[in-house]
This record gives sequence, structure tokens and C-alpha cells, in this order.
Amino acid sequence: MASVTQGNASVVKKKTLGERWYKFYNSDGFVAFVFLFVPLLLLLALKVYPIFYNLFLSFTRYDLFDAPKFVGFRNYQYVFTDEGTRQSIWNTLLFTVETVPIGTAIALIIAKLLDQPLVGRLLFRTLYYLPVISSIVVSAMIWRWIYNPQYGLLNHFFSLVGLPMQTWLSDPNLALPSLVVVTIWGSIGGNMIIFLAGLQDIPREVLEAAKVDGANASQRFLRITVPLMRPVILFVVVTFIISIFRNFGLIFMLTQGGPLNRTATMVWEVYLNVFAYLRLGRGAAISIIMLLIVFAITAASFRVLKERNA
Amino acid sequence: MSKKVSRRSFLKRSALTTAGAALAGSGFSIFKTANATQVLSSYAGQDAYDFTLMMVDYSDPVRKALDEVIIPMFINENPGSSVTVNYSDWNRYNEEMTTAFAAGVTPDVFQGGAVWAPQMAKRRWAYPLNDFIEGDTDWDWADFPEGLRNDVTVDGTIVGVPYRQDLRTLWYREDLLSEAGFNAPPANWDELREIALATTRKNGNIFNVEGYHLSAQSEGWQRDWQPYLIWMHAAGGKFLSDDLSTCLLDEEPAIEALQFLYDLIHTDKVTAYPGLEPQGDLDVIVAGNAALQFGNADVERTINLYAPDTASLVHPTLPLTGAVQATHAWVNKFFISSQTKNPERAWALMRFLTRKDILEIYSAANNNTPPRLSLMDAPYMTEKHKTVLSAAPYAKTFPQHWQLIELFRPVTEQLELCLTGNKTPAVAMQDAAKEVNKVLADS
Repeated sequence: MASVTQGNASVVKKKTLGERWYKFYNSDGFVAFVFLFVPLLLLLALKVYPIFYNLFLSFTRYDLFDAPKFVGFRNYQYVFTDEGTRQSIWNTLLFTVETVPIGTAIALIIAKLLDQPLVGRLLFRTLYYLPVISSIVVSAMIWRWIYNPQYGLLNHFFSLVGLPMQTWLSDPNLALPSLVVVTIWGSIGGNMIIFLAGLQDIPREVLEAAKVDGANASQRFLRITVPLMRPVILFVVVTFIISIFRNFGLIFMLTQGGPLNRTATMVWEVYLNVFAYLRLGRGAAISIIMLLIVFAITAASFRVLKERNA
Repeated sequence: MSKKVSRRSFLKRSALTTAGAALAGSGFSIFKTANATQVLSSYAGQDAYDFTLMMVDYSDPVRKALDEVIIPMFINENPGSSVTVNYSDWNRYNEEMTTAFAAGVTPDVFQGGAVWAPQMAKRRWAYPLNDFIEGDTDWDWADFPEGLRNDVTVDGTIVGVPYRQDLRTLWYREDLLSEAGFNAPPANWDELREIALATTRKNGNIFNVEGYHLSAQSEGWQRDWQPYLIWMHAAGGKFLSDDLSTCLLDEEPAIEALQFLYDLIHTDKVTAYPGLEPQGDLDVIVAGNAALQFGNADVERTINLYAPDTASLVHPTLPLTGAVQATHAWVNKFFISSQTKNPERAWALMRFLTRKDILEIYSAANNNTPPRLSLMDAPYMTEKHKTVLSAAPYAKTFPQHWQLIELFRPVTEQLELCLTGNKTPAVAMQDAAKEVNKVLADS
């Protein structure tokens, strides 16, 4: 704001709109604004708006074609009273608990092994990474054949060693563990790469000093590598949890929520409600609950792993 | 004298150009839409039109017939037109159609499954066809059997035209029956049980041959529901009341049908649960792993394509008699989208596709049971086809409720609970009826 002094009077001359625009136009802020405008617009339109619209929908009854009708907390009430939806929450948590710790541990151990100067380690790294770049549909088709009760590879091996043949994906007690195996198989490569990057950041001197002090391999791994890798482990755990909650493709391709709803997860319930039943309000409510659970688990993971790290 | 461009000016101009291009890009699509609409309007009432067609019910031979014969014939009859065919899949049909209607980008003509007519009518997705059909005597609506016409007529409005009747009847394996001392297929429930017991072959608890094959896990979430429906009809049961307000699965005939299936699995042990898996596209009965199985004319297609040596061994027979002789028919149909830009031209395409000569090409390629009475003696209709077709008088179709998919879900869950031995048939059906009634009340 410019001011012109005339005697004792101080006259403040406001800048015109044109002058303000000229100043803004010649500032770095304008350049930044123009560059950010399109991405921000896209972010608002494709991320922020859908989240809030989803929240709005969760309080309505909506079938895409008639206007949404406000129903208060009825959809949330449904989520917690409907037996099938409650089971889907339990299945999702069980799926997460069975997959994330084991999958993370296996990926870390494999990463540690492939961080050694072994012959053919590049080949092994590639082989472990292959499932990550495979299409989920192709992977599911392969596993469907592996799990086939009559012609499957797994039962063939079982029969060779005299073990009873199993129905895997059709067995209510084995269906979810079978999915856990496929999910871990598919995730090892990606997590392994992240762990490998983390392992390469650990100062070699620390490990060598521990070796000189008499620490054996497992002591060095558990007392030096793992504590130093906590930030990386935290990242892997959080992204892994989120990916489990979003895991739809495998369930769609392999079990469709069965048998006896044992593999019906929350994202499967969202799919059914939204696309099969056109009950978008219910689907939105389940997805909001899912979001809150992911938030809670992520916060808990942060707390546990960060506290220990501090 | 050239003016030096500063870094700031360069960035600014680049940013403005990018933003301008982005805005122009979004604007361009609006102009493009307007232009497209204009072009379509100019074609209204004329022969040339850019048709869009969605096919879900097809096999490789059908696709070949469409691409090489049917569509070229149509374009020949409608010079200047084009037909863009979207080959989709039943697995993603629901999502694809729902989002297409929500976004207003539906094809002019599309196929739909057995449960879709009431939903199409309720949501006003299907263009009403009464005016087209009633004024078109050459095309001959009366050539479609009455049951099929009723199936696509909702509250007096014709919403689709059948292109296939998926009739399920009993198929039997002649060699396996013969080895067990039977020279004729079963005609009623007791005979089925007797033959199934005699033909079942097991190695310990492992089935080599199921006397009767019910379903396999890979057949999807309706795997038990679809064969159960046939048994329920034969027991004299009904899914919903005539006014569509109440589920009748808790009534005696529906429970009796489930009890029969339960006994086949748990008492007679003539079928595994879940049952033996098909070998790829080869049905369990064609692969020689079952003596009896319900199926449609597709069984013959798989025989012809993958196991022609079994053609003399696998045969269809008439539906079984329980309390009544009955089976279930799934009527698949073409719809015209209510969002089509030009219903008259869309009808031209649908009329062409459901014409006798075209349906014959399609049905022969897909080995379908044709929906037109005049095609019952078409050259491609084999003896097996004719036997499947003879099940038509006994066939019942779905009740015309618009939420059938949602209503099926609790039933499939209860069937599974019962057939795995976790609930008795009576309790399972009572619970199924209760859940279905809940959905009906919330409609």
C-alpha cells in the first residue's frame, strides 16, 4: 500500500485492481499458481470432492438414478447390525493380521539374504519381483489351477507325500489362509525391494564393529539391522495394511467372498452393495468405516514402531 | 533487435500455455460432444447411423459369425452405417452397465441376462418396444413362445426381445448307466437316486465319478442356487408369491427339494460338496466324472468343440418329475437403451439381430436353443437340441422382481450353510425366507 504525505495529512492511495494484478503477474507466486492450478483442480475434483461426496452419500439412500434421500445413520446402523457386513469386518482384520506380519517378515528375511554377496542374487531378486509385475488376473488364474482340488499342483504334491487332498478355496477353514498365501507371494517382491534399499543405507562399519565384538549373524540382524530398519519397516507395514484393505482382485477372481462368506472382506461388501445391489449409501458407509479402521491401525503402527525407534 | 526472454517470463508463458491447453482440452470435449450430437441428429430417420452394440453372450464361433457374417449383412442392408461391437463379459456386466447408464454412455442395443428385464423396466433403462413390435407384422412377435414373451413384458410393457432360451434339463452318461445295469435315464427323483447310487465311484472318500453332479466351486456364487431352482420347481415350490411381496422358500416344497439334495450329499453320498471341478470348459459329465447332471445345450457345444468322441455317450433327457415335472429356463434378451439417440434406428438393429435368419446364424454358432418357434426344425438343430427344446413346456422363469440379484444372495448363503451340513434344510430355508423378506420390505 503506497502513502503520499501532504503536510500533516497522510493520504493513502489504494492500488488499482490493474496494478495489483500487474504486481501479482510479475511475482513468483503467479508462476507457482498457474503451474499448480491444474493439478490442484484435478486433486480437488478426483480426490477431495469424492471423499466428501462419499461421506455425504453414507447418510443417504441412493441408487444412482433417483436423487439421494437422507436417512441419517441408518446405513451405519446396518453396517454394525447386519451379520454379513460384521463378518466382513472380522474377515478383513483376520486377513490383515494373518498377512502383514508374516509377509513383512518373509520379505525382510529374503531382502537380507539377497543383500549378501551371493552368486546369482540378481536372478533371485528378479524372480522374487516377478509376481509384482504380473497381472492380478493372470496370477489369480495360475493360483486357481494350483489350488484346484482334483487337478491342482498342490494336491498333486500332497498325494505324493501321502497327505490328504484338500479343497483349498472351497474349504471354509482353508479359503482365507489360501488367499493369505497368494497375497504374501504377490507382495514379497515389492516389499523386498524397499527393504533392500533400506538395508543398503545401514552403515557397514556398525555391522563390522558388532562382528568384531563377537555378535553372531542372528544377533547382528535382530539387534542392529532390525532396529535401524524401523522407519522402513513402518513404511512397509502401513502400505501393506492399506493394500490388504484394498485387495479386491484376488477375492473377485478366486472366491467371490465364499465359501460361507469366509473371504468376504469389507471391500467385497462395498462392491456388492454399490454394483450388485445399487445401494450406494450402504457401500459408502462401509467404505467410511474401512477408512477409519485403516486410520486407526496405521496410527497404532506408527505409535508402536516410532516409540521403539525414539 | 531480439528481445531476451528471462527465465521468469519463460516459465510464466509455459505455465499459461499449459493451463490454456488444459482448459482448451476440456472445452474441446464439449465442442466434440456437441458436434457428435449434431451429426447424429442429422441422421435421425435416415438409413446411415453409427450403431453401438454390446455382446456378452458369445463364444469364439459367435464372434466370428458376427464379425464376418451378421454385421457385414446389416451394413449391407443399411448402407453408410457402422456398428461398433463391444465384446464384454458376464463377470463385469453389472458394473459396466451400471456405470454406463449413470454416465449416459450406453450402447444403442445390448444383451442382458435372465434377471434383467424387471430391473430394466423399474429403472427405465430399457426403451419400451410395444409400438415397434405391434406395428411390425413381418418380424412376427408371435413366433416367440408365449412364456418368453411374458418374460420380457413387465406390466404390459415389452422391454426386450429374447435371443436365447437357456433351458436346463437332465443330461446322462449312457456308458456309465449301462455299466451299472440301467438302459434308460431316470424319469423321477427316486429313479435318479437309484441310478446315482449305482453309478457313483469312489476311492475312499475321493470321488472318481459322481452319480449326480450338483455344482462345482468354480461355477460362481449362484452354483447351488441354479440347480436348486430346478429341484424346487419340480417339488412344486415357488421362490416368491405372485404379488412379489413374500418369499415362499420356507414352505414345504422348497424345503423338501433341499432335503433331497442334502440327502444326496450326506446320506447317499453320490456327490461331493463342493462337487468335482469341470476340466476347463469341459463339463464334469463330458469329462466322465459324473453320470447325471443338469445342463443346457452348451453341453453339446463343449462335446463338439473339445470331446467329439463322447457325442454318442452323453445325452439329454426330459426334466425329472417330483411333485410335478418341471425345470427352469433362463431367458436372455436384447434391450434397447433408453439413452439411445435414435430409438428407431436402434430398433432397426435389434429387429435385424432377432430376425429368423440372423437368429439362426447366431444360435447355430453358439449352439443355443433358439427363441423362435419357426427355428425349432432349423438344420443345425440336432437330436440333442430337440430333446433340450422339448423341456420348454415344463420350464418356469424367474418372478419379475427388480432386485433379484440382491434377493438371491441370502438364499445362496443359506443353501451353502445347509449343504455343508451346518444347518438343516428346514432351518436354512426359514432363514433364507426371513432374509429375503427383509430385502423385500426394504425395496
